[in-house]
Amino acid sequence: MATTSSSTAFAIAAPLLSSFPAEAAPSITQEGVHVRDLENMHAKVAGTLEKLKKQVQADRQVYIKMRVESNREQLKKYTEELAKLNNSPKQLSKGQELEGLESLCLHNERVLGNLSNTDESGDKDGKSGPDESNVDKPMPIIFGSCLPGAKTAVRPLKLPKVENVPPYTTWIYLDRNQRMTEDQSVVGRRRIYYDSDGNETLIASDSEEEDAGEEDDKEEAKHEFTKGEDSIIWMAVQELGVSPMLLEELAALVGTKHEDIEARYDILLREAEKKVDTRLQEIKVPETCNVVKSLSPEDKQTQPKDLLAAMDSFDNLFCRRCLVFDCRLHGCSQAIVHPSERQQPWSNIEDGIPLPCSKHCCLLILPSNSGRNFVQTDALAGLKVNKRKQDLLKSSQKQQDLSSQNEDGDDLDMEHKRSKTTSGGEIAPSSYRQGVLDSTSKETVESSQKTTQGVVPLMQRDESEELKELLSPSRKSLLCQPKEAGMQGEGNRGDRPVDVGSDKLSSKWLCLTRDKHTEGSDKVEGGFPLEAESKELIPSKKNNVPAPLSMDSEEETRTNVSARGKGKVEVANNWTMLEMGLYEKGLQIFGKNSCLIAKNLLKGFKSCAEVAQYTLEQEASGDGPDAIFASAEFTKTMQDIDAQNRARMYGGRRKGRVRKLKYTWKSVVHPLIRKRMANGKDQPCRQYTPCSCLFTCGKQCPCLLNGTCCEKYCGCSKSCKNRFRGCHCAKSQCCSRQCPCFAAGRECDPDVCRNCWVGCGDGTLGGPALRGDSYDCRNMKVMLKQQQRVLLGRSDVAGWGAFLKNPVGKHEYLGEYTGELISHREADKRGKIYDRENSSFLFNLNDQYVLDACRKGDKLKFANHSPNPNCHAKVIMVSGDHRVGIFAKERILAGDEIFYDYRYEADRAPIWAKKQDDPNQKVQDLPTTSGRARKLPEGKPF
Amino acid sequence: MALKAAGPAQATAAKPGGVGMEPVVGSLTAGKKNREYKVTNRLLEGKRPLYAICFNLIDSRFHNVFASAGCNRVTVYQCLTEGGAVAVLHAFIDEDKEEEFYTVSWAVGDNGEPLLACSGSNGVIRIVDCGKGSFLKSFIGHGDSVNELRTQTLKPCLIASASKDESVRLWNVNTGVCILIFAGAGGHRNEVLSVDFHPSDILKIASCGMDNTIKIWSLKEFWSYVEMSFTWSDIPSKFPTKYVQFPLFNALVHSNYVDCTRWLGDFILSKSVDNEIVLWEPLYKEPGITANEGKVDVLQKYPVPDCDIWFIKFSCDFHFNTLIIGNRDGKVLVWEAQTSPPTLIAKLSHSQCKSPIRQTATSYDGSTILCCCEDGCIWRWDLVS
Repeated sequence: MATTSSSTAFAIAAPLLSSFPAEAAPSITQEGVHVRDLENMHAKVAGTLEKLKKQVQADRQVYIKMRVESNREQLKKYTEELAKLNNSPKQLSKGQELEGLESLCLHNERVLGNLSNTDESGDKDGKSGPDESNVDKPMPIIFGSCLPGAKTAVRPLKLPKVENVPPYTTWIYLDRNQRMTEDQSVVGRRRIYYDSDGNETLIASDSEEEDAGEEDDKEEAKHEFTKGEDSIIWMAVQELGVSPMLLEELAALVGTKHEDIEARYDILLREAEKKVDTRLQEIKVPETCNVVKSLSPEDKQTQPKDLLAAMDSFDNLFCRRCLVFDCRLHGCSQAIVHPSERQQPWSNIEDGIPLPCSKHCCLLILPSNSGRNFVQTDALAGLKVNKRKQDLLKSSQKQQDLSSQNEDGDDLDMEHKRSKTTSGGEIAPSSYRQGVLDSTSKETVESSQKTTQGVVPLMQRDESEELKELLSPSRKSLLCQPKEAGMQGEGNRGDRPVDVGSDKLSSKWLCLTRDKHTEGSDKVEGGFPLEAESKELIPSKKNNVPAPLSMDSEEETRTNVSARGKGKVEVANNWTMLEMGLYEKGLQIFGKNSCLIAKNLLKGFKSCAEVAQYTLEQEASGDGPDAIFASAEFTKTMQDIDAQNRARMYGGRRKGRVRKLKYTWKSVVHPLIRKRMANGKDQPCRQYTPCSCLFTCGKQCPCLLNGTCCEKYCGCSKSCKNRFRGCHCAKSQCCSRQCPCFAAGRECDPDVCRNCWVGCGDGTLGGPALRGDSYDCRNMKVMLKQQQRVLLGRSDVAGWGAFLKNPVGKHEYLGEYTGELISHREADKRGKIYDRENSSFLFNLNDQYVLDACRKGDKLKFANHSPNPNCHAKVIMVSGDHRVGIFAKERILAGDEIFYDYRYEADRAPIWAKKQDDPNQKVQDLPTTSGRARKLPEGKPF
Repeated sequence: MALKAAGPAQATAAKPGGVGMEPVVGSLTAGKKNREYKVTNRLLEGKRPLYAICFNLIDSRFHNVFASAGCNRVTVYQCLTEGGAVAVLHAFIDEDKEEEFYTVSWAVGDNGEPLLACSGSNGVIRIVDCGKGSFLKSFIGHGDSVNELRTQTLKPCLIASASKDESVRLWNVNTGVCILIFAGAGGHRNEVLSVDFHPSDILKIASCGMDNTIKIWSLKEFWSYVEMSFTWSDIPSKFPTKYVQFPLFNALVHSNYVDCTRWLGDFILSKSVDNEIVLWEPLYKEPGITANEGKVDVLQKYPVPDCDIWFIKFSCDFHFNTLIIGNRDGKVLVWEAQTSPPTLIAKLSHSQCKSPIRQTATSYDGSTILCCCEDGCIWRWDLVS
């Protein structure tokens, strides 16, 4: 061993030595004097390095010896224990006198006996002695030391023939497509084949040299320094000092560039310094050190996580298309598209009446106003009232505090959808609420009389009259609401008499509507009869009202906050970084609606009242309003645009009136797309990537340039001309080419299409009720996974086959062909591998991706090819993704095998897939072709 | 059918470890040959190649019993101490003439009966009772041929199978259930050629194959299923078989097919077609994170000249002291496995033994060596005391 290692050391050292003169040569011409010195230096460096290297290698050998030795000690302990273990069951089973062992044990004795017999007879060859006395049992056959070619005479036991399942590669079930992960790529990776007939390994080497070269470069770029190399570098520098010559020598020794060596030395130097530092610290001031150490982690703990950091991972990991974290289909770190149209936040205002969101709602605690606009309008009154209110509520509040905190402790719910359905339900017990609201409204009247005095003069008389008309029903229902919840509908119609003395009240409601319009103009759309008019009112109110009010309220807030006791202030100070961050987000999303912010973002952290309180304080301190105002302004502009777009698109669609539109699919999409639809059967469909255009897409829109429609995931607004606008088909009509969605090879989308939705449940949850297949849209089955039960079995044709459990009708959707999404380049490489095995699960999806179901897929991957199939495969655009659906071409009976035409490209098709007379050609038995076969869909979507 | 054959390796050796990370290479000449073996017997089973031979080291009652496998036949023998004699105890022949057994492994049944598991090109695993000499059951599930079976020595009713279908499966011989399937997102990307249980850590399995990788799998999260399998009384197909998709560790030690891997304590012995067996240590870092390629420390190399075709497997004695491997030319090398540097104990050759030795078997104490050859012969070598 020692000889080999030292010889390698010499082998490496030799070229180093030989290269010295060559390196020294130029220096002779430059400075002839120092030649001798240089040579000496070289010799010294080389000698030192050689010494160090030998030392390192010796260390390594010692290390290995030690490791092997310790491993051996451990293993020895273990094997000895195991040997004991093995011996113990022997004794046990001997006691049990197992029948099963008879044969082996008996044999043992007889064999030995037999052997001794043969020994006696001197027949050293030990030939079998079946002619001896024991005929009842087959005699063991003994092979002597030199018995060539003897046949065994033991009667062999036949193992009954068992047919194994048809061959397959182990695969994992996928219920939706996945993008290939980087480590699964076969591109640039060497694969070695063996020929089942010959004795050769074939290494796949087809013009992949470039890839290999690239990889080599990458590998060379990174050199990981071993401990040994580090120590050589360190000690050499310690001994000889840093010199370019030494660096060169070291680089040659290690096999990298001298810059790397230099960099490495710096790292080592720093590490060494660190070590020294820590050591010094420990020696010098161990006590202070401990203090510092004990403090710092605490600081970190009390410092809560910044929301920004949390949001960062959210942005990176959350898929906004699938609404899941770590989406396998669209991947992480997607480009974030900010939609031009913001989704309207859910609001707790029903028919213009804010409902308290919980027991801790600011509506109850700061009862003078609605949750969303208490800040600007009636802070003054609200807080005054609040004082009294608090006294009133104190007793009940305390009781509720405990229970509600438990309730609110649920996890933070990011999804609006869920909150939509749940948040309406959580209201305080009705009796409690009634009492509260009664008192609330009374006091509201009183207080608002005071507060609004300053506001009313600012307004035009007629305007306020109008508003009075407009708002009175709402106010009315506020007063009545707890008692006659069911009467709201009547109130809506606005035919109730206006209460006397409501002038002043109405001004309050004016503020309410103003806010409503600035922050969510179409929140009220449904219930509001006079949308247009109220919109007209916005500017004037906006200009007139807020200025004096906010001033008032700010002042008042300050005084009130201080007046209201220190307890509250302390609560406000308890806001953590995370909570504040969440609050800021809440302002962006919901505007100043403390109910929604508390409910959706700060659930379990802060109650609605606390949020309201915080808002007041923020405004008071002066740094809040700017941001708040900015965000409110932003949403307002967005909503204006949205409202305009809406009006343009649907021509002022109103509730209750359904216009019968003569709607052809030609009017739906951009002409470019239409052109492609008309003539482009042969073009592969294009992969859709959401564009981040603002408002409307211009000519530079990536979607447009790529030849795809804009989808709901794009940044552009709904009015974008490049958008696919869905269909307006009547229910259940979306199953022919009359439907623009169907014609374009797309599934209907409830977000986009007008009448296409599918109900579920009995409607009690607020959604549409389940109405049966004949009423629901039938062009959403891939998305909804309404698939048939597919069974796997031995095919009548070849290998595995997919069978149907239940009978299906024509055009029925059977299931999805899922798999890994791989690039075309990857597919070419994999295709070559699969062609060797003559089983391909590749399926062309679009211009970017090929589906590979080989290792990941579902049972439909086993559906066989037939030129006269009973099914067909179709690529469909479902929510922006291309997916492959298998559909029945005809009526299929239960238990029938599923076939479809793989539609291989003519020149690449394997022999069995080529059109032939025999429709049921054996799939796996025929020789391979050189091409790479891929399945193709029938229709092409856009 | 010469299935398991390969031409000379064209692959370059794996990237060198760098200065200070060089493995210790055993010398083929320097070793003191302190032991001498001589041929004591030769059996000819037939003309067809024998792929597997295995001593029953699991049950101390039958340490001298071994089994061989080739074509559609599995034979059970007993090694007699005197004169190198070998007695045939049982023979099992598959009715399917196409079947070609590649591997055998011993197991222990519920009541301590000596079981033998064998499998091959059909992919069906057969369990026979060698005590009674009866056929017990078949395990169906593998989608292609099975290349190796191994038994968990601590729980000898558990066997692992390595298959061409790119999976490793864990079976319970007694209850007949397939407990786990090691395949999927992080699994092998080509045939699995070899599998082995960690000798002391019951939760670890190593496997290697034609994708040039060696993977270490952990049963930790799935141990409850293994426990469940011991008491499973329902029909085996109802067992909730789980997929283990991600290995604990993924090593790229070789640059060609890896056809044999064995644990040596916490280290791993593995061989490719590079004329050597490599001893390396997996450097587990950051538990939980399955790095694409884990770091390994190659400690030692045991050169084996003329061993450049695949499907040649090595064996160790019970205490892992000797490491025995045959080569393409019918020669056998006996290495001291656990010394540093590795020492060559003996180099065995016989003028009539010329055909590739597919697998060797080493008796409990290493005194008897069996080799099964491509030409259907079994050679017995005994230590000359």
